[in-house]
Formats: sequence, C-alpha cells, structure tokens
Amino acid sequence: MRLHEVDLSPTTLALAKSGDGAALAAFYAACAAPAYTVIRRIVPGPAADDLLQDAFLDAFRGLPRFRGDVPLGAWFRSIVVRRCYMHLRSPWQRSRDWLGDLLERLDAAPAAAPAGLALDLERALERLPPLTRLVVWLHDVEGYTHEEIAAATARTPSFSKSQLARAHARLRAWLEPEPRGACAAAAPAMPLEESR
Amino acid sequence: MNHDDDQETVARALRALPELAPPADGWARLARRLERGAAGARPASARPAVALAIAAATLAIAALALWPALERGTRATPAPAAAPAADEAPELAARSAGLERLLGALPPARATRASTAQTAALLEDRIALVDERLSSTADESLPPAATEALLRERVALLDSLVRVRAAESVGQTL
Repeated sequence: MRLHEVDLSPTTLALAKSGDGAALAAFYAACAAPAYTVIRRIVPGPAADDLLQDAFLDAFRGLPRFRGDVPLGAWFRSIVVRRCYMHLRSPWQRSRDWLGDLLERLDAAPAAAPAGLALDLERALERLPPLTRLVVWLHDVEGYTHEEIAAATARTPSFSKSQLARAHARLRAWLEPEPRGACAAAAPAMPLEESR
Repeated sequence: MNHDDDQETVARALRALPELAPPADGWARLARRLERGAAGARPASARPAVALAIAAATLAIAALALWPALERGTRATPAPAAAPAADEAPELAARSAGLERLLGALPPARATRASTAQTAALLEDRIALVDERLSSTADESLPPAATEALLRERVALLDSLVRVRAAESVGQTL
C-alpha cells in the first residue's frame, strides 16, 4: 500500500491525537514501511533512518491539528516529503551530494555503465542528482502534479517538467544496454521491468 | 516508442520497485525519544550539528590557523580566463573538498548581522547555481575546460563563504 492510502480507524486516530502510546505505535506500524520507502528512494543512504524518525516526531507533534479531510497517510506523506526536501536543500548536504557525484564521475564515470551492461533501476535512480530524484519519485510514483512539486520545492512547474524529462532520458540511457558490435545492435533493448 | 510511452515505461518500472523495510529498532528508538520529551530533543538528522556545536570554539580557532595554507592554495588558482591545465578537475575537486570540510567544521551561526547573513546566503545560492550547472552537464559532452571553469568558480565561491563563516564564528566565539 502506498503511504498516501494508509489510514487509521477513527478511534485509533482520536487516541493518537491525544498522545496515546499504543495508538502512536499503531500509526508507526501502519506508515513506517511506506514512509521509509519514500525517504530511501529520495535520500539513499544512512540519513534515511534519521529522517524517518524526524518525520514521525513532526507528525506526532502535528497530530492534534490534523483535521482528517485527507487520509492520515496523505497528510503524513507531505511531512515526509518536506523532511526530505529540507535535507536535500541544506547547503552542506547539497555540497556533499554534489561532491560525491562529481568524484564518482571523475573516478568511475567511464566504467559506470560499460557497453552492453545496463544499470539496475535502483542504482540508476540513486545516480540522479538529489533534487532530480525527488522530482522523479514524486511525479512518477507518488502521483504529484508538476504544480504540486513546484509548491513543495519552491520552484516553478517548468523546472519540474524539465527535470523530469531529462531524468527520464538519463534513466533510459542508463538502463538500456548500449549496442556492443553488430550482434548487440540487433538485440532488443532490455525492458525496464526486467532490468532489476 | 514515442516520448510519452518512454516516460510511462520509466514511471511504471519505478512504481514496481519493492517496498523497503524500515530499521528494525525504529519504533524502539522513537519511543525512547518520546519518553525523553521530544520537545527538547534536536532532530535526529541534526545530531552531527550538536557535535559541531560542542567543538565550536576550538574549530573556529583551528580554521583561522589553517587559513594561510588554504589561502595560498586558492591564490594559486589561475584566473578564470586563463587556459586550464590538463586534468585540473581532480585537483579542483580536492580543493573544493578541503574547503567543504573546513566549512562543515565551523560551528553553525546562532545569531549574525543581517548583512553577513545576506552575503552568506548569496554565496550559497551562487554555489548552488554552479552545482546545478555542473550537475546538469553530467551527461552532456561538456569540454573539460568548461567543467574546470565551473569547478574553479565553485572553489572561489567556497573560499569566500569560508571567510564569511569563519569571521562570523570567531565573532561569536570570542
């Protein structure tokens, strides 16, 4: 189940809003895996564990103000996405990500996707620049519109559209094996679904 | 296959990725933090900042001690208009990494003058812009000289940011 589809019973929700420990645990149990998936896809690496914790703490603090006009999971997802975005936009994190990406390119780019060998989809996703990865995941998996992405990232819908188009082009290039000689040139591209 | 089909194929493959299991001790950690009183607790993702804050005074002074060496390194950088030496990118990246480490070691500013904050924000924005240009050229066949020019610009901007941050840190530490 996707995070935005998760909901709690009215009774459990009411208890959680009052700070009941068992109800908060039920909230965690229902949302932890889908929330962690969103976070890890957007922020690969060890920071994801802490971001999950912080997102839940934000949610627990904000629960009394939750009006229930959308499923709890949809409300929580906006908190998760905000946490991820705040993490990505921090100057230090941005620089670290950029530097890691650069060093990888300097050291290993020619060997990263040798002819005839496709990257798997998870690795290809991780290889995208952080903000681009956020845009791709929100649009393609979470179903955000470009306007919603623009609002979540303080950018314009055009920025979201261009990032998405370039990301798709990159992902396809990384996922499809390059022709290796005449035989490879005649071979069909590896379908994305089978590339993992 | 047309453009829309391509996009949908990628999107469908992403949606088919498996759900990931959260850390096994996730709830136990969260419960402990709730018990301690989350209101007074810093976000888990900000924990490194706590360590930095503890070492603030020492590091600010260390930054000043290191400054001459860094300055020499930066001044040795050719002017942007000059033709870059071959394979200069790794060296620029290493210099950039050194400045990043120094920047990361400086304590976070608690309070600062508006003009200083504005300067730092401007520098950070310009660094972000350079990063974006570098990132967007990752898969384009940009000439090495152009990449190196961007890297050199980044080193110069980081250099300035370190100066601003170091001055700021020393100002609040002493």
